[in-house]
Amino acid sequence: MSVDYSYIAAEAKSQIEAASDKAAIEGLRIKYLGRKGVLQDHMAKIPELAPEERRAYGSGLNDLKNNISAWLAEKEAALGVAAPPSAAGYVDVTLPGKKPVLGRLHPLTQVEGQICDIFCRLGFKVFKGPEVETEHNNFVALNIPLEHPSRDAFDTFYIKKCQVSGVRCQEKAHDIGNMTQETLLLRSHTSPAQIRAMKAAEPPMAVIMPGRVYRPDAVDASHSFMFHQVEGIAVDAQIRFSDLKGVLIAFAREMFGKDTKLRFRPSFFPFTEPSAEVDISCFLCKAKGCPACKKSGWIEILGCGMMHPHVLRSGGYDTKKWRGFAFGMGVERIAMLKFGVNDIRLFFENDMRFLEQF
Amino acid sequence: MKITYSWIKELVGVTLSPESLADKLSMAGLSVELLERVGDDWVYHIEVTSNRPDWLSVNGIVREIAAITNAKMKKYQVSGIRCQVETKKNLTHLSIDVEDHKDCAFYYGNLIAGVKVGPSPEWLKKRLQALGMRPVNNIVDITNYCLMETGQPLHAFDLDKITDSTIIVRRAKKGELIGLLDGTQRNLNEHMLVIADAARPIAVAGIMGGSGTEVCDKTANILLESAYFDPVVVRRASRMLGVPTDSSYRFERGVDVPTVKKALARATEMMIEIAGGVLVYTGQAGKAPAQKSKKISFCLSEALDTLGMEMTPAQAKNIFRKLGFILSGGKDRFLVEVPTTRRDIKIPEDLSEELVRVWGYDKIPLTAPAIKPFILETPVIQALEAAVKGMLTKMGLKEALTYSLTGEDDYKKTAIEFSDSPVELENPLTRDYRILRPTLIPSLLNCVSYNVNHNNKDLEFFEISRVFSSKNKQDVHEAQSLALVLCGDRRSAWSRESRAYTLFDLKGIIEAMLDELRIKQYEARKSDALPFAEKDTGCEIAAGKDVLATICKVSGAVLRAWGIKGKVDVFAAEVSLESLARRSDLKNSYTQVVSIPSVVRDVSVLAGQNASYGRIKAIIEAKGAGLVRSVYLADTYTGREVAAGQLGLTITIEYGSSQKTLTDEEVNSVHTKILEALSAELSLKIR
Repeated sequence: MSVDYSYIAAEAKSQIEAASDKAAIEGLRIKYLGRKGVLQDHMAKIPELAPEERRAYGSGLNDLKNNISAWLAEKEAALGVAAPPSAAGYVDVTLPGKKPVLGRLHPLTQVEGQICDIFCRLGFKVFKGPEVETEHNNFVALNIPLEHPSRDAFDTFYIKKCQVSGVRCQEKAHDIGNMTQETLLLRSHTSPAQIRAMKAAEPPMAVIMPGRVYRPDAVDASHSFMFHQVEGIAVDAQIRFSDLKGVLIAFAREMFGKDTKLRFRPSFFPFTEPSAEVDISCFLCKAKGCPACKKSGWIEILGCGMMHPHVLRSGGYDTKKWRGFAFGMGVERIAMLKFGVNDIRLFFENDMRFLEQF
Repeated sequence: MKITYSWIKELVGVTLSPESLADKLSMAGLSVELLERVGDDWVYHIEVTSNRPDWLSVNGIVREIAAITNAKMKKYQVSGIRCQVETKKNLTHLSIDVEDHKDCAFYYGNLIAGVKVGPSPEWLKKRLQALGMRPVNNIVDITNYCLMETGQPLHAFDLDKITDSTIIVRRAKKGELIGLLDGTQRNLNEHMLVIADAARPIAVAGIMGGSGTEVCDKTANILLESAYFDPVVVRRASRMLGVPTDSSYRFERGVDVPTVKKALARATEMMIEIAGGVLVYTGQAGKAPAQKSKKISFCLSEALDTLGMEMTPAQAKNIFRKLGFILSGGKDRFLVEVPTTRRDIKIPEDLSEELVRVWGYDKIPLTAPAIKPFILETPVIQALEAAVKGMLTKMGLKEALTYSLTGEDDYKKTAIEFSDSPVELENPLTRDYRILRPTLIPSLLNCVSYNVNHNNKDLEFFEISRVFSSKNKQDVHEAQSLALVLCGDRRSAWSRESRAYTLFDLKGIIEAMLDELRIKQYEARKSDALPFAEKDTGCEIAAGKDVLATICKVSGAVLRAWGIKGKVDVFAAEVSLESLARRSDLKNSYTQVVSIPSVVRDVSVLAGQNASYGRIKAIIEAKGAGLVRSVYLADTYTGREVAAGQLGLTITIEYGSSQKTLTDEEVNSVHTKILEALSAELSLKIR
């Protein structure tokens, strides 16, 4: 049995073309494609056919069905009737997009990264030292004699020594009389990494040393017993204080804006000589005076100086051949200024609503 | 250090306004932290760096002001006339004995008889009050005044309360007691130096006097002490006692030797003038060491080269002279003799600082530095840390930063018991921050707890930080660790499409990370070693003997201990970055993309305790005869036909060859072998 579909096709096409509204289209859809529609009638006849005829018959019907569906959709589109929601229908473009949940680095990591990146572009390399340090590297090698008032700026957590043959060998932390250079502590600044970096690299060299540091400060809005510093040194035969100024202005302009000005004030750090504290012109109020700069127009941002010969010697460098400059800054302080965070504790609470803002 | 504007004006002819002077001081290194208006005067709060004890006195600051402002010092002198000893008074002689001159190089004592103790005159009270000191009585106020003026701490004893008119400067005996002027009772030890009379300690040397010899209204005769105590000895005792005083602060930094005697004379004079009385005896033990002035050879051109600035020899020498240095020698190379007050000046670099400090750092130009290339190999772990942070944030995790210091409670809550004793602090702030953490998990659970209790229930956190352990109990081992937690739902903007996180979300993150690091040889196996894991959820990912990661669902008991309430599941993992670094391959290389089509066949099996997906996959790969391109999980299912302890799996096997398109026969042959192996080796029923 052969069937000529062309008649059905032609009739369907002309009726669809004649349809003038959505209801008419829907009626034709039911007439041809519905459960009791024209095509279904023909489908029902398939079992009656000889097996060899079934295939051709079926595929012909299928093609017809596809064609009618397409004509219906075309006409529907031409009439400006949107597709039903189930198929190619109505699209509400005002529905919210399905935003992927984004991951984020901690704001302190971001700021630390920015600082390191800027110095790396200037030719520095990142070097990381351990957080548990020897008393020697943390103090003595940096020209901070034990039992000297210059240590007052560096209150320090000490590591409890173990029990040797049942006796606690370091009974009291404050028994300063018994301190040895082997005593271990949590570094109170990143500066001991200077000593390790010098031992790891031959001069000339320039390294940037980020990391966590610890000091026994009670926690409040502006103090934390754990915080982050970034420290840098550059050693070369002819390096000068003016180069230090050049590097720091390049850094400050990238970090805080191209109009940033620097102010150097004399200061004292045991590991640099001469030493200076550096203020930047307040980038928040454009140096007009605001609470962040205490109305002075200047914000203290880092400490720096030429490396003390004692420190170069501690690192195994010949002071007759080499000199260097050093600088260091606090990551929390910069992050607080940049983001307007007014409480250092927020960085360590890890409230999702805080972290998602950076 | 505090100083008033009026006091400065009295001693130096400075014409600057209070504000400009403050600025000038700050820019010369005497950082003015606060300029405070008090009545018709101004008080400068100056932060004095620890290298400049000479600035811990009015005289010292005034000397500096004269140098940096070119102002003239007004003549200040001790008349000395009233300090003549009047021997007429029949007062007992005072015996002074210093046991060890290392602790106390020299000690002076003046006896002033017949004083009238009473309130100080108004000008003196006012001056002390401006500096934040409480006036007590004329005698005590004069010692405080002289301390501020000269920087030399002095102490006045009531002579009649000193047993046997005897002063012994000695180490305290262990267990000796003293009542101090601050009203406390202190237990002393042999590290501390005391001033004792024949019977008992009457002062802790250089720190504070004892209440037993306190000057009071009835006091008539005074012993005025001025001495040089060893800085380390004073510092140690002050820290052990937890008593820092204006006096100990100055002794620790070292007082100026010639000033010890000058200050005594000044105070004696003031007492006679203000409180009446006569000087009847001056005693002394030890001798002030002869002051050898330090001479430093200085090369101006070298110094200027290091600073990168210009200055003429005349300008440089002028600065040095104003600061009181004595110069001799040539134009460029000369000898600099340092005044005794400047013990901070030791090397030529210290002199460079003096030059630039007074000249101004702003005069140093900006130069472009020539930072040369050099070799410093970046450790693998450093590169790995950066790579892992990048991957995890790409996968939607937030980085947390938590305290490295933890307390026992954190471990108790997490059901962790230490097999080795952890690394502990000797001087912790509190019990909660005593242990250097050996694992990051408790810190992240703390973080989850904080967030869940602040109504943030859907969380995905990671932290990379150091963990600490001590193996031989001598050294501390520091390692880089990564921990991750998932909690609540994997959020979707269309909220009904959010779904709860599962163990396999976390495992997937770790597997994706291993893929990215090109770590291929690893297996996941059950682990019972995680004390905080819910039963049967512990998993470790291992490569040989190295455990790369542990993963689990956190048990309800641990969640409750951390106060994580409500219906949330928490999944936690910890990864050793050290072991990843050993196995990862951060170098990438291109593998030819295969264009020959593959054929896909599904297998449905009931997996169980002894026939895990991992084992099934391993058999498929082993029996694949090089024709299995990949094996992946299509689906898992449970239902009536799946017995308890079993899990239905649909596994898709992708067959293909790199040489040619496989025929149905070739695929069927391998596939059949694989199915046979699965039923033979794992007794699996293939559905």
